[in-house]
Amino acid sequence: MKYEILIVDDEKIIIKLVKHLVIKSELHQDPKGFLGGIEALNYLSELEDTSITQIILLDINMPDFDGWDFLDLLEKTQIRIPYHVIIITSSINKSDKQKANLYKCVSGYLEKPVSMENMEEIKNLSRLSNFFEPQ
Amino acid sequence: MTESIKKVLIIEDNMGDFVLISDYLEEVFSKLLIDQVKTYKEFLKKNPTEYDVILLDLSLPDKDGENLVNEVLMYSENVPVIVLTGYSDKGFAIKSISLGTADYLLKDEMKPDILQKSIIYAIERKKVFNQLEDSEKRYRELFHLSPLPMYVIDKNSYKFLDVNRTAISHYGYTKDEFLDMTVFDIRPESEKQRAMDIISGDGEGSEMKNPGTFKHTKKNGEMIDVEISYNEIDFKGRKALLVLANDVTLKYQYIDAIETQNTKLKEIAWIQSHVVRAPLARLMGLVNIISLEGEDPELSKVEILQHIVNSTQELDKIIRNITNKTEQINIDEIQ
Repeated sequence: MKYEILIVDDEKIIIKLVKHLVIKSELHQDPKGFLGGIEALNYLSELEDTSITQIILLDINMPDFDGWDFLDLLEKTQIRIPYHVIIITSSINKSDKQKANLYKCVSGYLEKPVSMENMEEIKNLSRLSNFFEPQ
Repeated sequence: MTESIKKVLIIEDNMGDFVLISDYLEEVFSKLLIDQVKTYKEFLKKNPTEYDVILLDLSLPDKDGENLVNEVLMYSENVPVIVLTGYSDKGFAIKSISLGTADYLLKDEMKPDILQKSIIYAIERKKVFNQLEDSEKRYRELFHLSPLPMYVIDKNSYKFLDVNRTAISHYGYTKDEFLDMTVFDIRPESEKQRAMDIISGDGEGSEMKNPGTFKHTKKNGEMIDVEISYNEIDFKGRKALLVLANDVTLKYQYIDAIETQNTKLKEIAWIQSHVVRAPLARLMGLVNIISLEGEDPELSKVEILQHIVNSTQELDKIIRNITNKTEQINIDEIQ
């Protein structure tokens, strides 16, 4: 099955870092980075091919429009494209993790710093198993 | 009962009457000491409290009538005074009861048993009366010596009718100043209506009421928070409230300080998990990248190093910020 990976983070260096890991772990060859939730939502709404699943690696703490705002808006606007959200956050608060569980589209929750191990974890997420079948 | 009567004072200038009364007394009381004074002036030289009862003739050479009764009563304190008089003075004798004498006896009708009965009644009544007075005094002391400020206010005029010592020292007004003031004089403008509503409320039932916390102002202008409890009482025939005002200003200041402290601690906890963690996680991520094999042209070692430096500086700034917030928490500052 075809899929794309979107990285949403307000820090350029983190996007670069995650991109590097995604490529190196062969999760995807061309992940796309977005410095804010609005940009990512715009990208999603303009997509024409609705058969490709979008896997969104989402940061929570972002200025103005944070990860929660992104999730709320994503669930409200009924995008026909299949998507999964994996939260990548520097927060180690239980309450953030519990809050993330309340969103149906959230398939994974990772704590920063991101590492190669995290990439393997993504591959093993049960809800995403269709995409990462051992080739 | 009769054994307790040992000493009688007879204030009588007429020798005939004195002898007659003495005879009667000796007839009904054994081992009785009888003293006589003939004038008011002589009476003042005696110590009235030595006597169990005082018998007073209403017409003395140096004083008579209401004047005499009042002076003798005042001087004899708790010793019962029985008035002796002739027919012509019967009207005034009756009146003397309302002045505070224990009884009156008409000399022409006097007999030993009547005299005996009158004396015993007078002494016993006085005993009960003194007990009542004692218990009233104890209650008054409970009010005046209470370590908490208490006062009595008139339900209709809102005036202070009585204040205890603690209220005087706590609020800074003298007793006379208080008695010239209404309850509104110790309240800020914003609380006057509330106080009026409560004081003029229905007020039935004798149970204690706790209408809550109020703002009061002391004479020096200082504003305090007081927890009020009060009872409806009858004060010298007026509908009144007995009020206890417990100053809880300090308690409230502490609660305020603790709440502020809690907010600050929550802020700090939030900073710890969200703000501190961000540059730290970035740092750890960058270090991870360095340890990986091969170099990404998008992510040069120089760039990574620059980001590491930035992250450490950011972390330092955040920690200084937290320290600053922690220093603002100082509950000991409340005096």
